[in-house]
Amino acid sequence: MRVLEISQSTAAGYAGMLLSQLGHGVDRLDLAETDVGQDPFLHRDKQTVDALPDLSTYDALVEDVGAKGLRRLGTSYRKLCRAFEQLVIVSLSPYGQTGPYRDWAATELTVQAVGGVLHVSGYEDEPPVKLPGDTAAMIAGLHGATAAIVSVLGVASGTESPVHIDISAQDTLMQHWCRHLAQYAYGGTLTRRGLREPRSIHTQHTAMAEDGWLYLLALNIPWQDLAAFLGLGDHVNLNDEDKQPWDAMKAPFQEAVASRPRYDWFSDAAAMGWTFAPVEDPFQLMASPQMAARDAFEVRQIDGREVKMPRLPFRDLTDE
Amino acid sequence: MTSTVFAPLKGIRVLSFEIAFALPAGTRALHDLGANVVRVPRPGGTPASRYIGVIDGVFHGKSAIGLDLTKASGRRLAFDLAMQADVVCNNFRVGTMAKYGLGAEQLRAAKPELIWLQLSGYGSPGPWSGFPAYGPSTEAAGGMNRLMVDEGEVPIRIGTGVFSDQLSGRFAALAVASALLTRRQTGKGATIDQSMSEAITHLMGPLVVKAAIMGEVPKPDRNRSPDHAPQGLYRCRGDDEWIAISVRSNKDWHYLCDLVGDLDPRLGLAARQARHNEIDRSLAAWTTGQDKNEIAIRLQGLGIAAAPVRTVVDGNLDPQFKSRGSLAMTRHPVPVLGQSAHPHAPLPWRIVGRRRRKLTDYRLPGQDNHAVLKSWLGLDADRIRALETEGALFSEQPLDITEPPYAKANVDPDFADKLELPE
Repeated sequence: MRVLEISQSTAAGYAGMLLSQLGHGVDRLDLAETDVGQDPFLHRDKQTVDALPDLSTYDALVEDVGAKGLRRLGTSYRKLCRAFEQLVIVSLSPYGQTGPYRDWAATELTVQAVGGVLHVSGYEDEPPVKLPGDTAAMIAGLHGATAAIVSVLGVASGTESPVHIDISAQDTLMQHWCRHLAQYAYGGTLTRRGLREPRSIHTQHTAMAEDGWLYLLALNIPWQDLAAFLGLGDHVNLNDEDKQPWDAMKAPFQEAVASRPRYDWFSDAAAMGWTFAPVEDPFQLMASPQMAARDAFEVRQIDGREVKMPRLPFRDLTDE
Repeated sequence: MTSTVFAPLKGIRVLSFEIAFALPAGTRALHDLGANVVRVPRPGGTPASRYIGVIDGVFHGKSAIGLDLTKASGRRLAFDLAMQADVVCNNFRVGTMAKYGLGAEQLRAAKPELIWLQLSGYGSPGPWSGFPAYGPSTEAAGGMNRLMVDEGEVPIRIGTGVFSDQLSGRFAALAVASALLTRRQTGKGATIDQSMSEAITHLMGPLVVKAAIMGEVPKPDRNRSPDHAPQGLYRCRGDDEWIAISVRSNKDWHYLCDLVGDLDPRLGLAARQARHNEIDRSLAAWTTGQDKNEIAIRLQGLGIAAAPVRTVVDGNLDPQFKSRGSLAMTRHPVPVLGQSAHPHAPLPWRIVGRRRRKLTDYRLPGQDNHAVLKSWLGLDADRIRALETEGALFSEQPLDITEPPYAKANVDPDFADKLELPE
């Protein structure tokens, strides 16, 4: 599959990168006015073009510059569809090309705001907190890459004709919030951000282990079992049916978690069928035994330095 | 032959052994794109988990059969169905499929062109390959929570509960689509392993690479931006209501200064960054007491990036979602909680000049035993009844839901009226 990416932001850049990592030939026309056009993660393994090429040999165009950007290049969606009947066009934008927000000015923060994920991230006693980086734009890019592939596949299989697909980052982000929307629509549940301090030894905590943060998620487990697992039997009455107040539990809880390395807790909890997890920073990820065993990073040279970059999160094990 | 309904995967058969949310979200995407998806759930579950399965929407549209994989006849049936499929996928615990004779090696030995996918929390192989995970565990392990805070602060959890699940589902759809395209070109199948945790790491890719280049964990932007100032969330009228505002240029800033007293229009970007806290206080004083939607429209009229922070109430009513059909009423054959339809998200793409596949309701495990076994394996009704009798097949009774199996606190009693749900 041969793809032209015309990008000015993260969305089409990520879509193009996913397609290049899947082995497709991606040419990139950069219209970015910020340094996003130089991001080494997003723009791996693409060929740069300086002007709009002849698109007759391309299968798909993935773009986030919209009608205005195409006009700058002397073309339009209509002209492209007429001139290149084989071409699948995937357009990525913050709010989509139709609807009352279509011309709204946007940033990553405003898209996360109307995409819904923002309202429930953070703590109840402070404003919501944006998800890191260009999360909404990248999710739209993930959809864009899928749209390009399935559409080209459909054309090749004879089940489809070339189409123009309009993808909105607001729409694609909202899918990650669908459970809360449904809980309201089915039962009126008003979801809120979590408490900074739990009311009791709840089943969800983030606490500092001996060598880093640990996330303790133990859904549907009696609190007494969790307390016993953490070795808190000297501090609480495990035969008491009521959860102990957090004020009384906090110090021994934190002391217990801090007494062992996070991977030890993680593996022992997994043996119980519980879903604890280490809370990893980028360097811990790069040193993680799981990531190492899976060869999850590739090494690239950037400015004379070896830099690890995440590979795609799936791989074909046929020949392994 | 081109249909007016966009269905590029028409004719593709997917057999999915799936639980929870992540893989079901991926196969929902394949269904939305025209594939014939048959899900094979595990029997049972608590009322709460079954209720979530009904309302999440990720099981919608697909056929559902009940196969008892603990019985030899059930496993044989599963194998026969797999031989008729283009794609077999699962998110059972690693090793479970092989135990049932449905692992990649077993199935692809008989059908090399099959695409087999396994999705798990941490991927396989690897020392953590058998470790159980929910989506939030993989958000933490994949690096997202830590990147939301500064060194020493307690990492923040992403609040939606299914963020990582939906992401991994979408990556699974990409992986399957890519493998189908490769198979079309080469005739070769694939054995795909996918890690939920790595999907999060990939989404954090630019920040992970930035850390590698800089030699330190990037400082979190929180709600601010190095390129736009002021940028933040400001409290508005109502309970926990907010507006997001991003000032992207000096022109934006001048317009904002005209609206809001107490701001200095001479400040450039660097000066606005330096005095961000002070500007935030002035902006918050201006937004407090105003309606978030009205401010957003007013600021957008001046070209300033602003948007209301949607809650579950107005998210369901967002005019952009309504206009684009991003939430569509899905009818229930039998009312659920007294309503005959509820909103669910269809394929979140607009195909210019075409229709999206219509989303249909959740199907109970076993509800499609006869239809699927007849069309995929050519079995007649007598044979299917015999399989039911010997226990290879099962069917679940409808969940009698009279009220949501969740806490009654924080419930809006007027939700059905606000959403205009049909009785």
